Amino acid sequence: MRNRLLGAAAIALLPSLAFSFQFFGSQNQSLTVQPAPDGALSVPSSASLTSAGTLFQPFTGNLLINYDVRTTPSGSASMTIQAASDFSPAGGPSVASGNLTYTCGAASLGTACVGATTVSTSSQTAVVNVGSGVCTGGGGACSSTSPNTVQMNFVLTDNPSFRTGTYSANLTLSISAL
Amino acid sequence: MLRNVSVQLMTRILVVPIFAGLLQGSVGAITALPSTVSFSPTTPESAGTVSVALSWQITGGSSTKTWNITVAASSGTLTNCTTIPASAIQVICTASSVSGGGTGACGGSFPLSTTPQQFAGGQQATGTANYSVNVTYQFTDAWKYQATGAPTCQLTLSYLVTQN
Repeated sequence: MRNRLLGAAAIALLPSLAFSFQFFGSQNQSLTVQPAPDGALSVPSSASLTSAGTLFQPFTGNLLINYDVRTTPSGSASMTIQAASDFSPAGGPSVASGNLTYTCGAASLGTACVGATTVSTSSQTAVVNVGSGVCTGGGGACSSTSPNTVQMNFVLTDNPSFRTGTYSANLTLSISAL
Repeated sequence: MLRNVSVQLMTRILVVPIFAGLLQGSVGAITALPSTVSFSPTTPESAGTVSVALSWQITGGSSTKTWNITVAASSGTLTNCTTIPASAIQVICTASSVSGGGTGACGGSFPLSTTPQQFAGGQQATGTANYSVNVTYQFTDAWKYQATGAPTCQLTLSYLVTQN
C-alpha cells in the first residue's frame, strides 16, 4: 500500500516538470536611459518700455519669462541676457552706453539676479542661476510648478540728447544646463 | 480495500496530462538584439526610441496550437533614477513573423509595467519553425525627471514565450 502511494506521487510531479522546461522560453535584456541636462525658455516676442509722461523720466517695462530646466547631480544651469543689437535708429538710447538696465523678480526655481544689472552688447549677464540636481514640475527635488517663471524689469534711461522717436533693440535670452 | 481503488484512479487521471505535454513542442533560446536597449541621452523635447529584434525557434510545433510573447519590467522604477517609472517607456510591437506556415501578429502598444503583457502572438507552424518579433521601445522624457550623469538609469526586461 505504501509503495503504490509513492508511485502516484512520482507521476504527479512529471507534468509540472514537463511544462516548466519544454513549453516556455525566457530571456532578459538590459535597458538603460540617460536623461540629459536641459533647459528651455519662452518669452513674448516683444516688450514695450513706456514712460510715465514726465519729461526725462526713465522708460520702464516688464518681461515675464517661462522656463523649464533640469540639471545633473553635479551640474548647474544659468539663464542670461545679452543685447544682440543696439537700439536703432541711431541718435537715441544706447545699450552700449549703459542706458538699459534690469532687475529681477523672484524666480520660482533657482536664484534670480539681485540689484540692477546693465545689459551688454558684448557679454551675457545673469538672470537666473540654478543649482545641481533640480528638475521642473512634480515636486520633491523638482519645482512644484511647470513651467517656472521669473520677471525681468527693464529701465531705459531718457536723456535730452536723444532724438524723439521710436527705438528698438534685440535682446537674446539664453538658458544652458549641465 | 477502499484505499487501493482510490490510488488506481488517481494514476489514470495523471497520465493524461503527461502525454498531452509530450506532444507539444519546445521553445529554443530567445535571442534579443541588441543585448542592451540603450537610449541615447534624451531631453523632454524629444522622445527616444530603440528597436529590438527578438527571435527564437520552436521545435515540434503544431498548427493547432498558439504562441505568445510577453514582456515585463524588473521593477516599477528605474534603478539609479527612482523618479522615472517603468511606465514612461512605451512598448510598440512593429512586426511579427513565423516561418513555415505559422502566423504572427502584433498587439497594441502599452506602457511597460512589472506585470507581463503580451505584445505579439499567433498560430504555431507545424514542426520546427523560426519566430521573430520586432519591438520598439519609446522613452517619453519629462522635465520632472532629474538629469543623470553616471551611472545611467537601468531596468531589466524579461521576455517570456509560451505556447498553448
